[in-house]
Amino acid sequence: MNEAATQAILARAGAPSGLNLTIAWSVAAHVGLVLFFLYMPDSWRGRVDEPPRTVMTISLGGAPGPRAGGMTQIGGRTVQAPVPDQPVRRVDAPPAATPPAMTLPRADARSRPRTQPRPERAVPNATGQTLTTGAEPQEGPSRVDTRARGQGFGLTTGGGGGTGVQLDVGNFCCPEYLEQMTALIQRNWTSQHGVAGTTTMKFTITRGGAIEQVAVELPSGFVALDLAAQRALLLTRLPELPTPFPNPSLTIHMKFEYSR
Amino acid sequence: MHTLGSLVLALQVQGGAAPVTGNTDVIRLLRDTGGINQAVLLVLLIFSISSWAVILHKAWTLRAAGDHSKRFIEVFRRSSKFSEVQAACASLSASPLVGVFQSGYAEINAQFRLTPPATDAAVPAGRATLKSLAAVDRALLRAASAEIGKLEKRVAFLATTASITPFIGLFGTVWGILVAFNRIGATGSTNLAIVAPGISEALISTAAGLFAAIPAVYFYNHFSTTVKTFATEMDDFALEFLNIAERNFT
Repeated sequence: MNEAATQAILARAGAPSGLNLTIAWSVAAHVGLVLFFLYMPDSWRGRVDEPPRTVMTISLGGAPGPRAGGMTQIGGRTVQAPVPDQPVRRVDAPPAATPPAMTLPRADARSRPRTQPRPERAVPNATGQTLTTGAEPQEGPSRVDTRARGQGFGLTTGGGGGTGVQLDVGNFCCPEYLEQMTALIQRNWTSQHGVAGTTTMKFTITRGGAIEQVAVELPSGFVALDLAAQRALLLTRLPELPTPFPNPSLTIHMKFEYSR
Repeated sequence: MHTLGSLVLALQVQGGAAPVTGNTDVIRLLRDTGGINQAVLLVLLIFSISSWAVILHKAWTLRAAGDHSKRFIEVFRRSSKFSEVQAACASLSASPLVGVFQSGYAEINAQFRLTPPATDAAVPAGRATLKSLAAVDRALLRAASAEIGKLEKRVAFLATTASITPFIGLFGTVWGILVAFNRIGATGSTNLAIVAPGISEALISTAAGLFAAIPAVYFYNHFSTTVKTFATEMDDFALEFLNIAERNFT
């Protein structure tokens, strides 16, 4: 027995739902979304395209001029430790002198003169100073040891002393390592080859400190200058990369400037 | 005179500072994540595809139902005979009101077929009368229930997706962090460069879970409200249908 209303309800329930079509649309939308995430520009996902490179300028010697004393920075001076408390030394007081025995005054004793003796010359500063007519004292060229030791990075020399080192360090973790590296390379390099030119070298420092992949990035135009820079790098032995530096290697672009 | 020289160093950190495209970045993240996390991501992808299929299907169905219902009500109130309304039902089949009407109309026709013409003097000659108006009411009620069930079909899947996909994603994240801590222990270093990639890979699962859950929550609430609106319309239409039937066929 089948009711008329049931037939109507069943007829409508059997209608196609069309879900398969929407599944296909959903799959296509997800594929499109994944492709969008894969190929969307980096700026859309908030990525910084390239971190600012750390550039350091190292000037050896500085500009020619009068020697003004070289490095004058005092920032590198170590902070003195507080002086430990000194133990208090107790000095035993000497025994008091025995007072003289009481005596009666003598009747024939001579009395002391009541008046003060007159001074034979005026005491210093009691009279006006005589103006000098000689040359005024001036600062000499001799260097005074101020006991201040410069740290080598971060400050510049005043007046181009000629012996100072000018360094401008960025945010690299270990400037001491760069300072040491520069000094070691400089030992094997001289800037005087009779001609002026600039050679830019590129090399990689491994974790163990070995210099590898030495290559001339920008030649100077003189083979001798390029070979001198290459030789300086190949002869240098560097210490291991510092522990705070996390990367396995460090690539450096170094410019060697030659003068006559 | 001292020799002058200057050295310009440009540090280029190997690997980390090298420009990496976003394409490589995302693929590397997906590749480096573990097998469990990849399985979790696959499950979440299936949930997301299914839920969006349901969302698109229900949005299309409910929108068509709304449009057809408006037009059906206009036809129903403009017509003077049920047969005219029945003729228009074929083109407005998406409306749930059509189902209610067809059920009531079928019940009325069935009663007319089973009931002989009235001989009562109060009833005009040749006019058919209903045997039971309550039966028509029950037929309308059954049809309304069936239509509501049809409208609510698969909406519950959205609630399921909204409930469990964040937990599935969280499971993947917890598992990924476990693996990341194991790597940290094996490396013996707490450097951020070692810790961060593992956590980043682990967090992909949570992001994927939320990506599947958030639209499911929104559209579940939206569709539930829409179905309630249709249920109210069907109740109203059933009462209107009963009034007309009682006025004309009793």
